[in-house]
Amino acid sequence: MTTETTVHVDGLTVRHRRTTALDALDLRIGRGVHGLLGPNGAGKTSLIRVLATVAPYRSGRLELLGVDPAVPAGRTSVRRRLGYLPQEFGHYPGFTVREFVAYMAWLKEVPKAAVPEAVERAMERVGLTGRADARIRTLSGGMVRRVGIAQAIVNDPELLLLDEPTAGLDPEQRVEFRALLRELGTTSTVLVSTHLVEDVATACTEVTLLDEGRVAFCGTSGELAAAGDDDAAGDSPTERGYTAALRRHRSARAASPEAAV
Amino acid sequence: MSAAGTLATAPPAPPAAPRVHRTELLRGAGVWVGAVLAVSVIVAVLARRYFLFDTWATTQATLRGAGLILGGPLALTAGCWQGGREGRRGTGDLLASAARSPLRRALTAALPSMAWPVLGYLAATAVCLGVLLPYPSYGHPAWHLPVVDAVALGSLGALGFAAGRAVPWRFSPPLVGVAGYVLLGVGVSGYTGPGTAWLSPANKAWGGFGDVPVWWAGVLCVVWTAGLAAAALLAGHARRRALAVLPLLAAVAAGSVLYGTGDGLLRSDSSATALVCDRGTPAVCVRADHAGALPAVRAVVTRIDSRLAGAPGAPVRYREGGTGGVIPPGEVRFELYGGVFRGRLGDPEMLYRDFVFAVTMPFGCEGSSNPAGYPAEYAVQEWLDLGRPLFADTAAEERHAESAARRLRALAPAERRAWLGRYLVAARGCDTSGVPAP
Repeated sequence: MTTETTVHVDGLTVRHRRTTALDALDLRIGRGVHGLLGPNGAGKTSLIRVLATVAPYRSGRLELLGVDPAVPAGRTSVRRRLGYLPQEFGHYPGFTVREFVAYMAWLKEVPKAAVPEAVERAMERVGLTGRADARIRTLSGGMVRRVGIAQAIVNDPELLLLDEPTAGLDPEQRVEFRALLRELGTTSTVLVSTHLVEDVATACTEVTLLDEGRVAFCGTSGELAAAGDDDAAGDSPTERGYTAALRRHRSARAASPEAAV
Repeated sequence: MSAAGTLATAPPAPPAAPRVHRTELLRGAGVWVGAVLAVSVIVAVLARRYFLFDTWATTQATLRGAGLILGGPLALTAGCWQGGREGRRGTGDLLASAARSPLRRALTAALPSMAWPVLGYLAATAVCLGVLLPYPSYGHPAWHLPVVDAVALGSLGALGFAAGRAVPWRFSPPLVGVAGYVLLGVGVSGYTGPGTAWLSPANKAWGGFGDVPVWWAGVLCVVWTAGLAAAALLAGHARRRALAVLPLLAAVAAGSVLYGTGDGLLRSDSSATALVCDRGTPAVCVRADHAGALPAVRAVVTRIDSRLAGAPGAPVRYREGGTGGVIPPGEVRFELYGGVFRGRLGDPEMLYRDFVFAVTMPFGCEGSSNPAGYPAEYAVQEWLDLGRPLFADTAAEERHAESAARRLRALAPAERRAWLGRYLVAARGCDTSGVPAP
């Protein structure tokens, strides 16, 4: 269940040279865990990068946490309250986990006095306290991903953007991560881009399905599961709902190219 | 609950968070850059100490030359590598989403590129000056020079960082390092004019040759190097990039003065070049900054004077410096090219050869050689115990010259003194054709 809208997107268009990544997208997201699904090239990462204030957009209007990030002062304000895990998580292998998370806290302008506690809490939430003083280069891929999540939440963000956060996590870690997502969603707006439909089914309160830069479906994860029919491909109700919603969206677009869902 | 129980259940304070600047300084190649730079400079400087360090000016000129020629390219390369870090590590998106300003982020990331070359150089300076403290016999350390050099090295690190950020290519660091070596080398190569040389932080004209730079030359160099570095960082990372114009203008102004003034930035150190003479015969005079070497020079003079044995026309005065001017009759002028170290000559044999040539082929007689006088010249040089007398064109000439030398040795002392006197007087006039070989 969402409350007030924290992400307000109107007519957002993003183009990469001749390709339209997002096509006049409208979206409202409030507190809670929001799943972002879609096939490859649907525009998920483009949307996340725009919301993370790292990528420009061609047209449209954007309001994050009640602030227009196009204004420099507003952008800085949003960034202080933002957590972001990019799809390709760049890091410094020579840093220890604690050093890297503290570094990111400094970048996010976490007040100096609050940094030690924030760092410890972030590491604890992702289960890395025991490896706090290990160099990142010594960690497994899954652990590095957890470092990425730790840095994203170190400032207790009001808006958390996670692009493929479960990539590289083993099943047990993914279960723990979903629990963390649900916990974070009680106080923050969490937008999770993923290919893994089961993550959405178990952790997300709402789901947006993108296809070719447009919204193909928007609703609760239960509604997505219910959208499926017996003809749809998939091993679970959510997967069947995913394929059915995509199929209907594409049929509608083919019938009426101007019609956006 | 007891007090003890309260204490036992109180949550422990979280560990202090690592400071980002400390993290940047310690996690990377910066420490090694500083260590390599320090060791390189120490080895380069101390390996030469027996030849050069007669004055503090030459000591510090050597130190800064090694520091900038070795350390400058290293600082550029390391800075460029650090600047390309975000490109290599793919942290661009992550950093772009951060609230901290791009300039603060860049300055923090550039910190090891600027700090470690400086720390390495200052450590090398401290070690070298400490080891060499007893050796220079003239002058005193110029404490502002290490500061000027340190600013230059830090600025080169920052410039390298800016280059790495602008072109995050894997071959950028070595290319920037090589380019830096070439540009810095301009200052010490002598192939360019003095104006260009002064734009190089490694310019060797900073001391040791009887000249000292004016005090504000150091200020100009600091503004020149630091201004360029500040402009590069501001242009690349400041929100208001136009601010880069201010340090750029300052750097261009300072550079213009350095280029335009050139060696006019040097003033003669009259106290260093003043002559100090002993009371012996013939007179021996050296520059004040070589006063400690006067007995050693006297020993070389005594050696040649004993061979000349008071012959008429033998030099009556040996004077260091002024080799380019008009030389009075009876005076030999020389330079201590071999250096001086704690009162010892770096190469007394070289000085002796200089004396022999000055006696047999005085300055100003170049181009007036007398081929027919070869046997006589050979005989004189052989008599004066020159390690390597002239070489003949033919074997017949060689035999002729050697027989002349034997005859000179065989003459009675009075006859030899008379013949040498005639020869020396003729040589002073650049025409020995009237003095046949003995």
